[in-house]
Parts: sequence; structure tokens; C-alpha cells
Amino acid sequence: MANPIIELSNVRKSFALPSGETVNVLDIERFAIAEGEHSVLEGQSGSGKSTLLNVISGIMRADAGRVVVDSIDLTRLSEAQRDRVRADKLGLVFQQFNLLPGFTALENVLVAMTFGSGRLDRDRGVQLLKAVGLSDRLHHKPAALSVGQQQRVAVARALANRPRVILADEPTASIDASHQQQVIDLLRNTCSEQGIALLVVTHAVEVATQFPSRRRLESFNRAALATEK
Amino acid sequence: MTLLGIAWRNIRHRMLTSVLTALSLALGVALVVATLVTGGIVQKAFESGSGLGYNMIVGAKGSPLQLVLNSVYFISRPIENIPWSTYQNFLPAAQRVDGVDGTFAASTKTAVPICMGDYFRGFRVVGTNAAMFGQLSRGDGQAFQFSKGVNFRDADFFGGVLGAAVASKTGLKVGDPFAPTHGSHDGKVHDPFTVVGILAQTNTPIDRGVFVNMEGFYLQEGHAKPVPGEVPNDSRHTQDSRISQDSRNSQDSQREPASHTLPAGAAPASAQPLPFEQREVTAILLETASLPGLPSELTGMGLRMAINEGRDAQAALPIGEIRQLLDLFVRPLELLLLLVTALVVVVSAMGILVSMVGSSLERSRDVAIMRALGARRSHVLATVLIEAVLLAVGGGLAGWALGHLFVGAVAPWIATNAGVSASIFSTSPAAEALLVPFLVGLAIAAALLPAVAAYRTDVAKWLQGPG
Repeated sequence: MANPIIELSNVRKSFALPSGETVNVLDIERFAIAEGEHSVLEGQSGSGKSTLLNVISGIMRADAGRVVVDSIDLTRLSEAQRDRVRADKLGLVFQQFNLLPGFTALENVLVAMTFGSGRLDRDRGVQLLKAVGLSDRLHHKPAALSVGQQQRVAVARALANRPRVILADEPTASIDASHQQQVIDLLRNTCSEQGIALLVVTHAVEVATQFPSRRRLESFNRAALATEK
Repeated sequence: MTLLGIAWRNIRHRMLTSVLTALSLALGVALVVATLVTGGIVQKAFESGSGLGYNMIVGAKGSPLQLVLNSVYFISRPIENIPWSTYQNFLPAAQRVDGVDGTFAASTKTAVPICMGDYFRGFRVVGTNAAMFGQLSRGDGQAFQFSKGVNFRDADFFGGVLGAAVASKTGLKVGDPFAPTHGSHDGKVHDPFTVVGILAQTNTPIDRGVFVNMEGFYLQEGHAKPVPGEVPNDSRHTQDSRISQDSRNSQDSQREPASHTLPAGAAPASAQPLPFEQREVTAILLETASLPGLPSELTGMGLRMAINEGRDAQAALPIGEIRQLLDLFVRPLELLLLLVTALVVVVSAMGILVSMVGSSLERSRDVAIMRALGARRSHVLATVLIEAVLLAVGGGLAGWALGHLFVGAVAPWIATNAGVSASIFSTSPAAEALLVPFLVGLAIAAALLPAVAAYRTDVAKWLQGPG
């Protein structure tokens, strides 16, 4: 494998239930994504896909093991430092798009730049939106955009800080079939052009089959395997 | 995009809630500003009155405060009248019929009698002599100025001078006749006086006074003190001893009254001055002198004690009485009013808290999104606090402007009733300067709860999708 841009080793993550019981969600010996790799992660509902993305993005801290993003070990960082790594190295695309409703398309992109290390570059924000075909929707708020347009804004926002990896959590789950392909094409083409690694979490077979690298979470997450047994 | 920009967009996104929150704060602040400014105006009204060109008032025994309120501010009612002979006690030999110095003449620099009880269109009519504006100063050491016409002469029995507010309100001009009413606003209409002068604005109660020659005042029906055994004629008598008096300042007017000529068109053509024995005065405005070898304060103190030991009159110090009034009533009342209005502001500030807590569900999702984009907890905490501060500053400034607009709107009423010029620009600088920082502090305190909630937002929970 080429140089990994994401590398997890011996990562464990568990949650305490209100009853006091502990539930193991992740127990991964090794998981890696190479620089520029486009990969899809499949898994059943409740298999820990979202938790894995949260651990990789530093939103959650692993209980044990190492989580390295672009050679930075997140497990050694404070929460604020992880926030900074997330802003600079990662682009997130969500199932519900999660655009800020009070902000225009352009402002949603600029907000992401606000928290990164780079300068606030309005021109780049405009260029990103133009690249996803929204040059005539710069000043529209999410409510005035179609579902497909909203997801395109989300992709443009994920690219705002020139990330090394884009993590897309069910990016096509909320859009109709006619737009699903557009979004996948947009993600893959954009990431290819800019040499960005792409990890798409999905349970949609028609999406998964388009990726050369397909991983099934249950196959390497020992916590999921234990649950299945 | 700065955190300020993000906070501003959040406010715009929740426009209706934000506007209502800011409006409730604005109304509270407007109330505080109006209270502060009008409180300052009331205080200024009293303090300006205590700075007139005299330092002692002599009047009938009773409440010294009532004497001051009536004589200086033209509010409250006269206590009673004092004998003409009491007034003469302050006159030097040259101004007395008997050619002997009055008992208190040596301690007196100027003594101006005033007679009250009549009204003109709601304003107090004050019978006095020409010394009122010829010898007393405005209190700042400056002589009274006339914007139109001149002071009345003691020889013009039916001449009168109007305060600036009276002239403005009534529209009377020099040369116009005006007829006071007896005892009340709707009392019997007296013979007319003629306006000979209009005073320049002084920002004191003088602006609200109608000043007439006391010789003419005495000649009005009901203004002469009945003398036992004498049958009053139909133009000079009455039982109302509260309403009348006389004086004159010039030498000839202090001697036995002589015939005077009335101005054309005013009252009877051959009026004779009222005999001294039929005269009383409501009060005497005194500017005390220094006795040889004694500081003026000691002279004044001795004079006051001597007067108060007598049976006929009391001496009151306007400044002392006004200070006492301010300390006992005005300031506590102002403080109470301020406390109430401060509570209104606190309640309004709670509106910020309610508004922010109310939108916390929506905010939690936004906060989670921002955190996912790399915002630190401190960023979201700051954003919420900035939002609260923006609402507080916006509401505060709007309320500040609204408060001044209110004061501007009631300024004519204040000017008419308090004799103090108030305007939209009237300020209470020290208190107003503290208002916005106080509000910002209050808003931050109110926003702490939602800010901490935002700080602690569980990002994963709010962004969680299936899986």
C-alpha cells in the first residue's frame, strides 16, 4: 500500500449504557486508507460505521490504540488540537448535508474556512461553488436550494480547506436515485482531480460497486464480529 | 468569516425572535434613560432655583419648605401673609416713612417683597416691585435680561413682565393686556395689566412666572387687608388675606404712597396707591449683607435667628431647604424609580436568556455542524456570547435613543411645568455611560447558560446518521 493517509491500529471504542453496561463498538487491529485512495466502507446498521468516522475525524477519542491522520496521531492531541486537524486535513460530507440554514451557499463554504489554518479566501469559495455547478446559487440559502444542490454545497464546503481526505457518511441516502450518481461522480471526480483520498460510508450496493476498494466493517471490526456471534 | 459575522448571521436567521428580544430590552432601557434624564432634570430644576440671587426668604410662620416651594418654585400654596411692617424692618431709613433704619436694615443688602395668590392661564402671578429684576441677579451673578421690552417701573401700577415660558405659551407680546384671575384659575377676573417686558430664558422657575407691579396688584378687588372700622369700597377689599401685598423698591415708592399715573388703557385713570395699613406681603426675598467685622455667613445666621425668635415671621434658607427636600424625598424616590426600572432591564435581559434557551435545539444542530467543520468549543462559546452582546448593544442603543426621544417629546411639558429646558439632547452622562457596559455584562451573564450548553453540545449525537 502507498503511504497511508489514515491509519488505525489496535483501536478500541466502547460506550457505557445508562444501565451501567459497557458496549464495545470498535475493536480494530488495523485499518488504513492510502493517499489518494477512493474506498467505500460498508456495514450493517449499528455496525459502528459512524463511530469509526467520528474517531477518524477526532470528534470522538478512541479508548485505546492509535489514530493517525496525515502522520498526526490524534490520540495524543487535546480536543482543540484534534479540532484543528479536522478543520485542516479532513472534509466531512453528511447524509443530511448539514448546511447551516441561516447562511448562504457561499457563507457555508466560508464558515468552514473560518476554522481552518488557511486564510479566508472568498474567491476560492466562489470557485469551489462554480466547480460544483452552483455559480448562480452563491447567495441562496439552503432552503432555496434543491436537495441535489444542497449536497453539492456540502461537497464544496468539504473541499474548502484543501483537505487530504474526505469522509462521506451516507452521502446519497437522502437524495433520489437520479441525483445519487451525480453526487458520487462529483465526489470521485473532485477528489481525483485534487489527489484527495475519499472514504465513503454507505449501505447502498449500487454506490459501493462503483468503488475499486470495498471494505466491510464487520470483516475487520472485532467488536462487530463479537456481536454477530 | 469572523465569529462576529457568524453571530450576526445567527441573529438574522432568527430575526423575529432576535427583534422581539432586542425590543423588550430596548423598552427597558428607554425607561431607565427617561428616568435618569428626567430625574436629572428635576434635580436641576430644584438646584437652579436654589441658586437665585437671594439667600434667605422671610414669610409667615409654618413650614419653611412650603415657604421655599411657594416663593422660589411657584408651587404649593402660600402659608399666610406677613404684615407690611415686617417688610419695612428690612428697609434703610431712606426708604421708610419714619426716616429711621429698620431693625434688620444693617444686615440687608436687598429686600424684595412678593405677593401671591392670583393666576393667569395657569401661571402664578407675582406682585413685586422693580427691584425684583433691577437689583436681584439670576443667581449666576448675571443681571436679568429682557428678550423684549423692559422691566416695569414702580410708577407704572399696571405694568407687568412675563417669564420666557409664559410668553412662549400664551403668545403675549409687549403691549398686550392680560387680566389675572383671583385666587384660582377660574376665579374672578381682575383689571388688566399691560406687558412691558419679556424676560430672556433663565432655565429657572422665573420662566414660569407672571410678574406685575404690586401697586396695581394691591388695587385689585379682594387684595386689600380690611382695616377695622373702615368700610371697604368696591375696588379694594376682601377677606382673603392670603392674596395680597405690596412693596416698592425705589425710594419714592417706599414712602407714603402718592398718586401715580397709570399707563394708557390700563385700569382706572386716577388710581391711588393702597394705604400701608391695608397692605400685607406673602414673602420677602432677602439678599443679606455683611455686618462690619463679621463674615456674611454669620450675619445671615444672626439675622435668621433674630427673625425666627419673633412672632410674626420665619426666615428660611432656600439652599438648605432644597437640599433637605432632595435628600429626603427626591433622591430616595429617584433611587426607587431607578431600582424598578433596573428590574425591568434585568427582566428584559432575561428575555435574552429565554430567547437563546428557546432556540437551543436549533442551535445545537448548528453548533454540531460548526464543530464538525473544525470549530473549537471556545469558538461556539464565543459565538453565543457575541450573539447575546450584539442583542444587548442593539437593544440598548435603540432603547437609549427611544428614551431620549421620549424626553424630547415631553420636553415642552417639562419646560412649562418645571421651568427647565429639556430636550432630546438632555443627558445624565455618568449614568448613561454606565448603561451599555452594564447591559453587556448582564447579557453575558444571561447568555452563559445557553453558551455553556452550546459548549457542551454532543457533536456525534447531533450529526449521527444511521449506522
